[in-house]
Amino acid sequence: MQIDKTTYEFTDKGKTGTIALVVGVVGLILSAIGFFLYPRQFMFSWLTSFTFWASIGFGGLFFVMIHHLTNAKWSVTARRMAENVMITLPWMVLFAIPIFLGMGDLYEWVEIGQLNDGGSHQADLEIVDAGHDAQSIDTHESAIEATDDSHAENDAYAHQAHVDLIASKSGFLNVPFFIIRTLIYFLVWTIISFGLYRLSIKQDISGVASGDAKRFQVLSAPGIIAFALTVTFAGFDWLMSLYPAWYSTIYGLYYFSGGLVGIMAFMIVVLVGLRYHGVLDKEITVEHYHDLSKLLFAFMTVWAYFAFSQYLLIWYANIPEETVYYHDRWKGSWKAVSLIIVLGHFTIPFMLMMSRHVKRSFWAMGFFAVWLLVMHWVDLYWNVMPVLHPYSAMPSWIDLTTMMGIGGMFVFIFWYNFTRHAVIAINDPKLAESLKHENI
Amino acid sequence: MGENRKVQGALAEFSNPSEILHAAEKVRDAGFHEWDVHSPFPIHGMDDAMGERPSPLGWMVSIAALTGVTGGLAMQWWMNAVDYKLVIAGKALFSYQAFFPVTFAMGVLLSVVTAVFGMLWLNKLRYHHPVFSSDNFERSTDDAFFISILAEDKKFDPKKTPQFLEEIGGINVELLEDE
Repeated sequence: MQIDKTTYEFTDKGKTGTIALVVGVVGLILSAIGFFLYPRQFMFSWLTSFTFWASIGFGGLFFVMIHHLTNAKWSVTARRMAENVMITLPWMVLFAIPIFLGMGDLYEWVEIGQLNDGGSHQADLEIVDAGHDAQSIDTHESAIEATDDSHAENDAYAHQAHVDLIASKSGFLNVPFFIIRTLIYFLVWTIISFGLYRLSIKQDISGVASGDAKRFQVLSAPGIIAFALTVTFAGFDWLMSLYPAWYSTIYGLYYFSGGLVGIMAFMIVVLVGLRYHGVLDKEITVEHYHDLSKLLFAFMTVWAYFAFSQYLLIWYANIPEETVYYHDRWKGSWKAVSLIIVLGHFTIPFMLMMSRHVKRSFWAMGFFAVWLLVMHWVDLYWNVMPVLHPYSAMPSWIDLTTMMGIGGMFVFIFWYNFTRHAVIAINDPKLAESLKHENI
Repeated sequence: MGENRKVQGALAEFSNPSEILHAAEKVRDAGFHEWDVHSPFPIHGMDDAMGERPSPLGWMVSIAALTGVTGGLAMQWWMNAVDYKLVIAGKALFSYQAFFPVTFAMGVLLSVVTAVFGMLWLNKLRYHHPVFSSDNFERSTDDAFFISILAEDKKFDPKKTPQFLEEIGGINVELLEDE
């Protein structure tokens, strides 16, 4: 792996792209086998992996837009890397297709919506019967059926209320609208990221032109508003609607902040890898590194703030329709996973990453970046999987293969674009200042 | 220059940041301790040039933060679970979840207060610094760069130190005397 020190283009691209492609293809093939063996497990694993890599992609988009909007100087050398992360977003829509096809397995509201379409009263009655039957079977097994008939009726009534509640949301939570919304999110992200990417590459060729920064800002300013809305609703749609009767207004921000942890960690991991091969070691110095680490630390704290805000309000109010979310995550081995997230996604890294010396050490931060990427995945897993495995966490090999499949393709697209152009924005007017950036 | 006036230090002016950076290195190498550089804006690399060790402020703030967090949590535990037991919304007396915001705020409060006052203390900021007796020094907030060496320094000599400051490129060298 080598770059030309004057044009900053790769002369030797190394094997990263090939390895990523192989991992991706193998992962996708194995995941396809998984789909035929365990379709439901596949859908939930796929959703976890998809939301993980999509969050890193839109994290990159956010980093680039904030860079332009604040007219940042220090991050110019790191900008191209974030740009190549965000340019994976247009491709990520392909990985949303399995979700469109298998939505019925993922989201409870799909089935309820379909039943409702076929004539509202008829469907409602059927569900009452179904609920009643299910309860009867249960009580048969516990051999107290005769005395517990009223109990079963109560449960059926509660179930009907649950169904009615979800059915009342069908104006928003229905299959066509869900697909349209997801396509809109990707359309918005594609427009912004293609626009910013094209301007950035053009700057490489056309040279330092006055007003360039402004053109980036003209796109970034409305872009960040569209971004805030689309990411919030993406969090609501992809993850929160797994619990269609449950709601949390901060959920979109929670997913977003997890993505920011993801992008900072991803960039640090890539930088440590490049530095190991002697690429960009003079351009992205310990000073840039220190700032990226500070942002990783800050976004991790932001994530904890959102996560705790959500928890505290639900815990305090103690309303069953809200607490069900945490109640489900306190059962069986999910309790252990919950504690791992509290300690591993915040408490331990917060204590250990506080020091300036750690933030300026390549290996220490490389370690914490990998750690937090893993934790970001555990966080999403913890959000998604209790729907499929309500009583305890059950890791599956499909979790791994879907991560390999989407992740391999993600890294391949990233690397393909990264090696196609100069690795830093060579004609940015602020580049000289960025190169000699120092933390006082 | 009256006989009864006490010499407090010496002051020299430098015309640009790079000159004062090199001059500071020489003062550092000459072994002075009670001295300072005054400039209208921060100069990159000055910490090294002055031989400043890493600031202990971070450790002071860490200790303050730990004190604040422990104290904040212990305070609520004492008040709500021991001294005046109060059941709120059927929650446990010691409901750590509800105590986190105050615990956090106490940690932040003590950290911030320590950071600000610790910074002022470590800066050796004082009301009557000898440099204020110089009229020329007013330009340190405008366009001039100064090095001051205080008489408290063991190596300070009323005759040799001004000479030394001139040797390293200082102009308008003067002795600082109290009024």
